Amino acid sequence: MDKPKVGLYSLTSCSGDILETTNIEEDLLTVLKWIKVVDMNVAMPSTGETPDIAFVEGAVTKDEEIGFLRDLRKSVKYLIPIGTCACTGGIIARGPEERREWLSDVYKEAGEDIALRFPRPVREFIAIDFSIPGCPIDKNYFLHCLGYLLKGVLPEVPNYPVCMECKMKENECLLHYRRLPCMGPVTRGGCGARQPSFGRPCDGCFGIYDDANVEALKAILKDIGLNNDEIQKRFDLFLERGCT
Amino acid sequence: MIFLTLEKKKLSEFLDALSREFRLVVPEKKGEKTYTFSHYSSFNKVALEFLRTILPPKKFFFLPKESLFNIGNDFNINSCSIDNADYILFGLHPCDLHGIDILDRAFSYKGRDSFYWQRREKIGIIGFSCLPDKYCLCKSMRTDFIESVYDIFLYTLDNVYMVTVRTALGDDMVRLKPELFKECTEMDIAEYKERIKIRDSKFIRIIDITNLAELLTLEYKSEIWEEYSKKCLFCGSCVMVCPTCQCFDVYDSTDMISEYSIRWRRWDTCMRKDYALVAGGHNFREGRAERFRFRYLHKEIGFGDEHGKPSCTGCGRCSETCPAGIDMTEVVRRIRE
Repeated sequence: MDKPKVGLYSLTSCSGDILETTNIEEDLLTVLKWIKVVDMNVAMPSTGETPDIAFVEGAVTKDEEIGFLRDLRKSVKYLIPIGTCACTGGIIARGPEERREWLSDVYKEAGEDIALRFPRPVREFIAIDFSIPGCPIDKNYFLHCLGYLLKGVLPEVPNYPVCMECKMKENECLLHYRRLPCMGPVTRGGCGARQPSFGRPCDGCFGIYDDANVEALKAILKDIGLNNDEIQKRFDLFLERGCT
Repeated sequence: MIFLTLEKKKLSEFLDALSREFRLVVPEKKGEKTYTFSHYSSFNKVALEFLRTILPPKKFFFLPKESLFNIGNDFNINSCSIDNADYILFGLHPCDLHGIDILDRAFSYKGRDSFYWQRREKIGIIGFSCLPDKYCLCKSMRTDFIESVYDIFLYTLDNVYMVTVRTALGDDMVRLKPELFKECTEMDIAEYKERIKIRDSKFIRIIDITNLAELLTLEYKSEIWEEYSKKCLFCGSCVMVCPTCQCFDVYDSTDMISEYSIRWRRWDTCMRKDYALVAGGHNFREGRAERFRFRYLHKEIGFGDEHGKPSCTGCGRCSETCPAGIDMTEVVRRIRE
């Protein structure tokens, strides 16, 4: 039997998610025993074959990306957005009003010629099977999902906050003991409390989980000394645009 | 049960001796304000002043995440062999000993949980006395003493520890360095009695748990639950750190690397929305207030119905840990009012 073909595609993004999949290094050869990679622009030229499973990173900002996604959807069995940009629009989908101003700030006159669509998540244009959030994604969770797909089963998307994994790792709570603005209580778990384990508060890159008590966290952030603007900024980074 | 004494300055010798024979676990400082049970490295890292660790000792025999079995490509089911679990846990306060007693009951109720017991049975326990802080509720929960669970228990006196040896394993431990231990003197006994009185006087918070199960049932529809559920993050921290919370989720992973499919169990919490979701989409506790209330009802009533006592040990971890500052004593006080 032929090995299932897997393609990894980039829309508008930093390529960080596909790059993260190459970090499986020591397990890469084992993984390649089970799949054939047909497209992965950061690592190899395309073989020109149509994949069975497509992973797409990045947000949609150009019309040709929409056409590309629609064609891809028709030809693959599974299509999975990976990384926060593909899932929610990500960091680049900030500030719809201030956008023009930021572009001219950064790119000066050249900024006026940039005519991009406002970054939107993949699921707004085509049907997706499920999504793998994260900025970047977690390579182990990616492998976990790939293992499921190869057996023809969709994996369960974690629906619990980062706090649970953080506590299981027995980290000292950054929000409670160090009064740092950690977004863990409202953020979907699955990363193994990546940032808090290194003493950095969670930024919420996995998006809000289904039952997050946002108002309760806002009250706590206020209590540790953030003003409304600062609180809004924390939510703007990843969280306010919903979840996967 | 025999009583001996150990000079305080000889504790390091005793722990060193233990660590040569067993996998010794001791309280160590974790962050700025927290402690954790960790593997013994040297005596100067042992945090004798600690009151509570972030996670209770349950993490050594009811693991945050453990594999139950795996299935290979040949479709044979292989049980997962356990790692070295023969720990000696040093420094458990009475609340944590009661916590273990409660888990022992829960994991043997209507059948023994083999995954729990294959670790639990290998573990030796050294209890350690303490003085309460503002979160300690053991006096109120009647868990400030215990006559079971531990192998030896150390009461801190002025210059010595009074050592209670309860089991054969405890006797083995003491016999590793018999020259360190002396007979109890009358002065030691007098001092022990005095110390108990001093500890009793140091409790900052006392709650009344008489007829609490009844009151919680009567206040089932109280507005208090709704009010607290607005403040609660439902982050699950209180459940993770609870010495008696024992719920778990079971899930599978198919691992391309090891070529096995593995069945796992992982700590779960009744505070989580999907916890009471069943096939067909019905959720028994969809609302936040219902979930907030459920944890209290289970601690006080659910467990009590089966085992004749509530499953809160008054260790204070939930109140100390809660990022939203929800204090269990406050909830109980308001229910009583």
